[in-house]
Amino acid sequence: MPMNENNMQRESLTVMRKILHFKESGILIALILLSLTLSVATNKFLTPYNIGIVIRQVSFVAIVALGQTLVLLTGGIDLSVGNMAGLCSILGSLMMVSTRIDPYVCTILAMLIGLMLGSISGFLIARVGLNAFIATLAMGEVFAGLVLVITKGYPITGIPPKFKFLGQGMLGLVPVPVIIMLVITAIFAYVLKYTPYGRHIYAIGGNELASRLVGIRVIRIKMSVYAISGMLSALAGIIFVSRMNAGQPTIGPSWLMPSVTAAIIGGTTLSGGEGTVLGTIIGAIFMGVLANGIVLLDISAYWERVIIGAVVVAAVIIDIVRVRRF
Amino acid sequence: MGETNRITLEIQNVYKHFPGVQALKDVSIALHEGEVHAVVGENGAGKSTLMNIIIGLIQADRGKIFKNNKEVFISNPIDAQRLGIGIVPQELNLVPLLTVMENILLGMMPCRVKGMILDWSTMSKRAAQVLEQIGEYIDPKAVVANLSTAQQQILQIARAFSFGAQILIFDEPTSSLSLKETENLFKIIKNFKESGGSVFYISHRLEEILEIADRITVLRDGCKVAELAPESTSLREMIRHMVGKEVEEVSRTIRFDPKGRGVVLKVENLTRAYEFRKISFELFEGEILGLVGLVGSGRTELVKCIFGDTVPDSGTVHTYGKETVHRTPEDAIQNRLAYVPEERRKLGLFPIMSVVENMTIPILKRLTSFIRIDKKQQTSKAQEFISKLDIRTPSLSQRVQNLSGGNQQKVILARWLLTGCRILILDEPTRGIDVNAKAEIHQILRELVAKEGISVLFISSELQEVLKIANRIIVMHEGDMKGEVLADQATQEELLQIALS
Repeated sequence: MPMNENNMQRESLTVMRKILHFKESGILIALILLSLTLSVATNKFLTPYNIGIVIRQVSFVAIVALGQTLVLLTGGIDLSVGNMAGLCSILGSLMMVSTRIDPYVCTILAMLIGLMLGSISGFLIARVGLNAFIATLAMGEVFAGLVLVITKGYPITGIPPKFKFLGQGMLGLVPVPVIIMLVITAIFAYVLKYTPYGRHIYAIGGNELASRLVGIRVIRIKMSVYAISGMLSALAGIIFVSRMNAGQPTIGPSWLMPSVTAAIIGGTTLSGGEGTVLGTIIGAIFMGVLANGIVLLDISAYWERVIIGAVVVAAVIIDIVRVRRF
Repeated sequence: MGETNRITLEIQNVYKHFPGVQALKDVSIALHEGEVHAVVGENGAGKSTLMNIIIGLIQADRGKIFKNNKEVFISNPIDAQRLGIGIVPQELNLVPLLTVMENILLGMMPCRVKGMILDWSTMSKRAAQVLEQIGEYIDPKAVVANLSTAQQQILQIARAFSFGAQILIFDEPTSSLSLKETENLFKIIKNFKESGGSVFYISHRLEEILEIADRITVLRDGCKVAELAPESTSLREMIRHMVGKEVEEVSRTIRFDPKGRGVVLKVENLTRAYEFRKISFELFEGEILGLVGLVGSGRTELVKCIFGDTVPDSGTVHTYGKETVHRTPEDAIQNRLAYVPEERRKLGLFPIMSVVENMTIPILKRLTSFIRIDKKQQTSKAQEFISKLDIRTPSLSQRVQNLSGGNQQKVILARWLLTGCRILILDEPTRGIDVNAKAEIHQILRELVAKEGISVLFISSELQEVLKIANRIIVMHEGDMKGEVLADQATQEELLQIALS
C-alpha cells in the first residue's frame, strides 16, 4: 500500500475509534461514575456487606440476561424469561419437596424442563415462523398460568436444608450465585467469540437471509438460543428458591424488564448482530447499583421504575448518537 | 442542445468533507432548462454526495447554490421540495401497504377538515391527474406492494410532479427495469424535458447515457474532471475520464470446445409452479454459461432452486454425473456449488461483520480445531484472497459495509472461492459496480475458468456483458426456456428476438 504516513494516521484513528467503538466502555464508565457518586453521597454504599447484597441480587437477573443476550443477538427477543423462571422453579421445588430425588438433581431436571419449554418457543419462532415477540409473550402467559394452576398462589415450603448452598452459600468471599454467573459469562464469551456456533449467532442477527444462503443452519441455531434462554431462566429461578428456602409463585416476572435492559444498556442492539455478554454483565451490575442507590439515598421506592425507565431511554439515545457520529 | 437556454440550477465551488475522505472538491455544475444532465463517475466519485446536497439531505462545507440566478440555501428536503427539486431514488421510498394515491400525495393529503378528516375523493382525483400528466395509467386505489418496480418508480416520479417539481434527479433509475420499461421511462423523461423541466441523471450504464443525456459531467475522486457533449464523445472517452486511465477492452470470448470436458451440472425439466417450467440445460467443466432474460423471466428463481433455496415441483438436477437433491443451500454448498445473489446487501453481505468474517463464514467449521476457530488460519486464508483478488480494504477487521460496491462483491466472490466451489452461480454480479471493478471481476472469472476449471452460470441484464464473458447463452422468458446460442455468434438483437419469439 502506498503512503505510509497516511496509514499511520489511519492506524491512530482506528485505535481511537476502537476505544469509542468498544461497546462496553460507555456503560463501564457510567458504572464507575455512578459508583463514585454513591460512595461520596452515602457511606453505606461502599461496604462489603452492601456490595455483597448488590452483587448477589444482580446475579439472578444477570443469569437470565445472558440467555436473553443470545436471543437478542439473533435478532429475536424472549419475553417469557420471567414466567419461565417462575414455572421451572415451582416444578423444581415440587420435586424436591414431594419426591426423594436429590435437590441438586432436581435443579438439573428443572433446567432440562426450561430447555424443553424454550425449544417449544424456538420451534414456533424458527420453524413455524411466528413473530418472536408474540410467541414468547404468549408462552410466558401459559407459564404464568401454569404456576397458578399448580400452586393456587401458595408458596411451596419444606425445601431440604442442604439445598441452601446454591443460593446462600459462599466460596471464600464470593457468593455461589455470583460464581455461577461468572462461569456462564466466561463460557458464553468464549463460545460467542471463538466457535462457529457463536459466530453464526452474530451472522443470523446481522443478516438472516444471507445466513441461510451461506449454509448456516438458521432454524437449528435460532431454536437453540431460545432453549438456552429457557434453561438459564430455570437455573436463575431455582437458585432463587435456594435463596428463599421456598418456591415462591411470584418468582420471575420482575426479571423480564431488567434482563432486556441489562443487555441493551450493555450495548446489545434490538435488531441483532451486535453486542457482548460482558456488556450485559456490566449492564446488569449497573442496574443493580442504580436500584441499590435509590434505596440507600432514601428515594421513594415508587420512583425506582421511573428512574430505570429513564436510564434505558437515555442509554439508547446515547447509542444512536454514537452510531450516527461514526 | 440548450447552450442558449437559461440556467435553472447552478452549483458553485462546492466542497464536502467526510471523516477520512474529501467527498467533493471544488465542484461546479450548471443545470439548464430543458436538459438532461448526466453525472457519471465510479463508485465513490461523489455523485451521490452531490445529489444529496442538492436535495438537502446533507449540507456542503463550502460553496453556493443558485436557483434561477438567486442564491438559495437548502438545509433539508422540504426546502428542496419548495424549490421544485424532486428525486427518484435508486432505493424507492414508498409505503408498500398504502394505496397509490396516498403514496403520491404523502405529506400533503387533501383534507375535509384540516389535519383531521381526509378527503378521499379529491385525493383520488388529484392522484389521477398527476398520473395522467405523466401519461401513465395506474389505479389510484391500488396497493403499492402489488405494483411492478417500474410502476412504483412512476409513482416516485408522480410524487415529484405532485408538488410541481421542475428539476428531477434520477439515481440509477434503470437498474431494475426491463428494456421496454426503460424505453418507457425515457419517453417520460423526454416529455418532462420538453415541458421545460430539467433532469440530473445518474447511471452506471454508459450506453444509455449517450442515448438520453444532453450534457455529461464526469466526476472522479470528488472532482469534476470533464464536461462532455454526448454527440461528440464516446464510451471510451467517458471511461477514460472516469477511471483516469485507459481500461483494457476485454476481448470477446473465444469459442468454447466442450469436447473431452465433463458435464458438471445437468438440469432436466426443472419446474416450479408460477416461477419456471421445464428448464433443461447442461453446464460443462470450465465453461461460462450465460443466462439472460427480461425481468420476470424466472432466471433468479431458477438458480435459487438449483442452489436449494427452494424445492422444485418436478424435474431433476445432476451434478458431476450423479442425481442430486439440494434441500437447503447447505446441501448445495457441500456439493461444491456457490451462489452470489442479485441483491448484495439483502442476501449477500453481513454488513456489520468484518471483511475476514464475511469471507470465511461458510468455512468456519472447517477452520475449527476442537471447538475453537483457528483465527490465524482464518486470517491467512482471507489475506491470501485479498491479495489474489486485489480487494481494497484498509484492514481485515474493517466492517464490510464500509467498502465500495466493487470490493464488497469481490469479498463475496472470495467467500465462495475459499469454499473450493466448482460451480459458481453469479446473479447480476456487476450491477451497480463501477467500470474498473467490473473489468476486474470479468478478469477474475476468466482466470478461474481457464486455470482452475471452475464452471460459471452467469446471469446479467446487460446483454453486452453476457455476450462478452459467456461461452454459451441460454435465453429465458416468462418462465420458459426459449433457446440457446453460442456467444461468439450472437448479437443483442438476436438474444432479444429469441426471448420474445
